[in-house]
Amino acid sequence: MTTSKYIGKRILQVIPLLLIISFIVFFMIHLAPYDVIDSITTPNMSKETVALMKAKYGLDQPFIIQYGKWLLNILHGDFGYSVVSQHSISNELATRIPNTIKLILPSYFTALVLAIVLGLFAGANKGKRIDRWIDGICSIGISMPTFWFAMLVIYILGYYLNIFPIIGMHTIGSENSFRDFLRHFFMPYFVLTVAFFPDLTRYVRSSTLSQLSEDYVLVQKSFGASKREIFTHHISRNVLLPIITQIGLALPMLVTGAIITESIFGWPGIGPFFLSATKSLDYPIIMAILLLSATLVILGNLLSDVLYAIVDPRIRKEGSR
Amino acid sequence: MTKQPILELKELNVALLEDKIQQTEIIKNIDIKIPKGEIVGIVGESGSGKSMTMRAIMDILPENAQRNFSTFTFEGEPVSFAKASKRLPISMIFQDPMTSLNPLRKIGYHLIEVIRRQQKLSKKAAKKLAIQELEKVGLTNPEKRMTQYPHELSGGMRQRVMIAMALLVKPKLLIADEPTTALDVTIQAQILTLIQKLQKEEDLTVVLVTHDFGIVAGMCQSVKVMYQGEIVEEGTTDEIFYQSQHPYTKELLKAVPTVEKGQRLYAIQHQLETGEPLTAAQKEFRQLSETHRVQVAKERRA
Amino acid sequence: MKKTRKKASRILKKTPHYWLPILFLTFLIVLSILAPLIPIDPNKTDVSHLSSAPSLQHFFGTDEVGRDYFIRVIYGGRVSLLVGVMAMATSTIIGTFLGLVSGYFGGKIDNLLMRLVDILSSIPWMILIIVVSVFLKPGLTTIILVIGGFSWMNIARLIRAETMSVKERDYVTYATFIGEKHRKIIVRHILPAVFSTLIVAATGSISSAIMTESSLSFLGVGIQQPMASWGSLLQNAQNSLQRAPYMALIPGIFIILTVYSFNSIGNFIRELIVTEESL
Repeated sequence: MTTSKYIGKRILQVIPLLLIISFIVFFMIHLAPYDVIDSITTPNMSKETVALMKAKYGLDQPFIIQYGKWLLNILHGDFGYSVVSQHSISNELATRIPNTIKLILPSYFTALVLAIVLGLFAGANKGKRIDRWIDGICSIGISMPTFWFAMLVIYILGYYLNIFPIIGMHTIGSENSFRDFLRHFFMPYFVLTVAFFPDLTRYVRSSTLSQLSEDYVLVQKSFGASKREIFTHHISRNVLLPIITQIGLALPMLVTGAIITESIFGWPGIGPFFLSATKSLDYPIIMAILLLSATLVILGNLLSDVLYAIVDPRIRKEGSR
Repeated sequence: MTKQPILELKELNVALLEDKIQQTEIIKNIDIKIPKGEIVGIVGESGSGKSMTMRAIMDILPENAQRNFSTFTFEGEPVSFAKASKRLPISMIFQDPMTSLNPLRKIGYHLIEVIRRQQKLSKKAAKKLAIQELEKVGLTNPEKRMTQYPHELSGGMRQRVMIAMALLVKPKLLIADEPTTALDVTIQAQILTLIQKLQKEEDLTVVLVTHDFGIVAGMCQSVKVMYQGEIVEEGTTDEIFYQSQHPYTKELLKAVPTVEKGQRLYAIQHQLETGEPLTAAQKEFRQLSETHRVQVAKERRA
Repeated sequence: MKKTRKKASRILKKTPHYWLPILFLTFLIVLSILAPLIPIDPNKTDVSHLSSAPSLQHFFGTDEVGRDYFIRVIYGGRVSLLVGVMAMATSTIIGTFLGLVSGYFGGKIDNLLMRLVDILSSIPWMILIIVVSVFLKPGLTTIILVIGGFSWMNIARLIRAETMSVKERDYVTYATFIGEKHRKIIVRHILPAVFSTLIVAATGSISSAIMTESSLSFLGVGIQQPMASWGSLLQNAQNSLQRAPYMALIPGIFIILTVYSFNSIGNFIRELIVTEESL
């Protein structure tokens, strides 16, 4: 009862935040030194044609009215049309987001499992050789640009060993072959997993270490609990519960987590779509993605808080008070 | 000495390795003898090595600590801390009951885990035993407590849970490391009375670590005074209170808050005597009675 | 100061692996400063060596128009380091200023500034920076301002929290009580107290600025031709990946080493400050 009240309150806080963000973004794009008309008209068009084009897209109306119309449409689930290709943005998003999710979800999940195993293991062996190795690998992983690693993987697996196709999600003509999909899937999946795991591992390791320094661990030791028992019965649980909140924070990645990687591998997700839109200043698309990602960040934070409230008995109790 | 000591430890040394180069000695060559069936007080200011001595006995020193001793006997049997050796029937309760329990595990889980580690019991039987124990330490409504999380209990209740946990391992020696420091004054008295009562009922030996001479006077039969990693004086409570010899003990006794009006609280002066601290070779014990001995500077023999 | 130096040498003795990043960065910075003295022209094309692999004549090989890649990488490093340091300075100044103001004055100002931080933080930085950099004329100054201007939020949060706790200390309360001016209190009392947090956060932000710059330049919205940074060298290398993989390999290794070094030095400084405070 009170938990739902809490969620309701949080949602109410979220709405003005979203409105402000959408307004700022719209404003920013409006300030751009050249607008979308420049990219679809040619200098030899007559002034009347240009004016007509402007009127067609509503670009001749005052700023605030353009914004209001656009917002109203969004509320109806209509993100408008790309001014460059004239396609419906909603349709485009509906085909591209699932492609991105197909890539991100398995990579993030793999990275998470890897991080939990390595992080707990490193934490349990603090200061020993294995811990230093894991920590060292994470430090290098954090310092490594993902796109560079992608290029390395492409060169080695794609060109040199020639095992995997280097671009796209399907070979043309075999769109329904799952094997073909997997062959295309492997490299970007691998690159993203490597990109995600170092941070997560560090997180797990440091929360393991902070749990280890808690008094209750000392108490358990004094009661003769073995290290193994302390880890399986107490620490792993206390470390893993907060990780659930990380999943909420990772929500926006489902859309924008792989922009560069997707465009390197020509994966037909949000990444290439967004980048080509920014290059041609296709503002309805930029707006849509910006708003979408900001919404997901905010909802992700909300989800994270709610999950935490459900999972942690200390907060659970306070919420019902 | 008529009574056989329950625990005897000789030449205990503990050092903390700060890094590869430096190490700090925190317990310096102390001998400890705990007489059976008594409540023994260990007194000293914070940092004097009281807790570390207890942790050395429990084998729960921090990882960067090094410990050695010449002999360690429990009820006359030599003790080794080899991996396969049996656990000693000693349990310990800690200063802060707020953090002693895993906040994400229920009270029942903690108790049942302790029971089932020692005895082959079904979950149901273990639960019954746990509830009985909670009743024994004076918790009301024990069935409900079993399903509660630590944060739902008050500090005093949690300390009772800790005592119940400690008793469930059927200890012969109970070490209470400042068990009431983190509690309200009224709760303090309740917990101390509980410890006293249980000591009689369960035929326990209790080591009570405290910095409060008031508590010692009310509960303990004998006292050991620790200062900078050493035991500087030990004896029966009366001997320590009325015939204290070591300057540090005297200072500590003066620092006991009295109710007299207008008297300033006495702050302990760290420099006992002017000049350099004595090295180990310059100190020795002087036996004043069968139970009372004090550390003194070796007399210089010309 | 002398004490700090002593402590630093103690930490270095304890964990000698900190020498590696210190030496590497010193080497890199010296090389960047002295780059114009190296007798190789970064723009001179050697038509007889197009995309040739590393050799004695060209340490890192040549690019597709025959320019010496070693000197290109050195010049790229100049740009990357410059962007890293300048963007750090920008974000640290903005973040510190807003954090101090927010934490010190509290109330409405604090509320407003923190909502701004919330809003900016709820747009994934990648999207935010790409969008902004698209609308400004790409180039060195733009990229510094864009990265610096949109990565101050964490520093502001940290400084705000620290300021709020320092504000409660007795000497600050006393200064307020005797009627010192706000500006003087902030500069004299609060800033020194938050300084260590500031240094640690700033060191960390150099490496993230270098990373961001390389991503943006790789996407073509950062440093533009004829200027080059490690990121734009990598963008260029992508086209000839099959023919000349070393062109991709080398700048990447430099990025990793540099970012790793700045991160390690950040840890080193943190260790230095923490042990200092605990003693």
